[in-house]
Amino acid sequence: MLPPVEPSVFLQEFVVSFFESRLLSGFISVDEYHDTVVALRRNDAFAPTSRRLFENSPEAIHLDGYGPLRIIELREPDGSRFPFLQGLTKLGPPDRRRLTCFVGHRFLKNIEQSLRFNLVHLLSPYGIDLRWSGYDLSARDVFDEIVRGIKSADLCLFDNLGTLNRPNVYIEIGIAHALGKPMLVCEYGGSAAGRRKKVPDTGSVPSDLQGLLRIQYRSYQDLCRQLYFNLPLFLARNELH
Amino acid sequence: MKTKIDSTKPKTTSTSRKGQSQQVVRDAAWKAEKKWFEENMSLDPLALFAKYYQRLG
Repeated sequence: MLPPVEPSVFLQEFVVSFFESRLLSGFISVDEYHDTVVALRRNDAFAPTSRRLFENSPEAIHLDGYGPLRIIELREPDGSRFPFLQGLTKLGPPDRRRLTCFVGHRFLKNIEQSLRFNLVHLLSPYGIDLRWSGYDLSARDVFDEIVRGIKSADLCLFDNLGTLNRPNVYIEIGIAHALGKPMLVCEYGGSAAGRRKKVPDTGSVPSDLQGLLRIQYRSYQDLCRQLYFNLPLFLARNELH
Repeated sequence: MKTKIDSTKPKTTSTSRKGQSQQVVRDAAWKAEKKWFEENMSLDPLALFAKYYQRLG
């Protein structure tokens, strides 16, 4: 895979964004965050490691004693690609019972092709299988199927991109809430360039629902990072691993 | 005779008990996460990142 920027610049920015998210969640101190940024800048091995990651992508490389890392290429809804750093388990997917995640989103071809691709890459290495929502809530049997799907899932993920005047995802969020399912609710807030404007084709999610992790994002790159950085804690908080 | 309800008594419905136990789990998960970072911040940042996701295995 061709890197969009100098590999070490991408990798440094990615790892710093991981530590920044931990700083903002209160897990590391300001001093620890800045020490990490300095350590990354001064690490002589960082540039060659970054190059190896891109040259071997999507194959993983092994850091001594700390498990494999790999660079994968994920997708924006417009079809453009972005690189993503992923830490893997040593033995592949866990031996314990696999979890099922019910996924609800707007059925537009570009969203399907990018969101599903991204989620499979982000979740399946950690033993989480995906189950997709049905296509049309107007059919009664499909509605029943969706309720069954949510009921049998261990967790749910909903993306509201492109859902203005299309309430299906919000109905699914309500069902999941009523059933007490742990939820990741992804709320599109407009691109960075057009942030001041109201996004014309996307609604909003109630902020007072309990038991959900709400992720407000501006691009799928932004969403994937937030989702990935918060995944271990989300699973632990809901006793899912 | 009407029975007065003591509003100072805490609710002990199954829903509130469930909510309390979920809060206990959430607090414990947060503390465990903080402790994990305290124990691993001396690692090289990239090694820490790799180790963080190994926990999911």
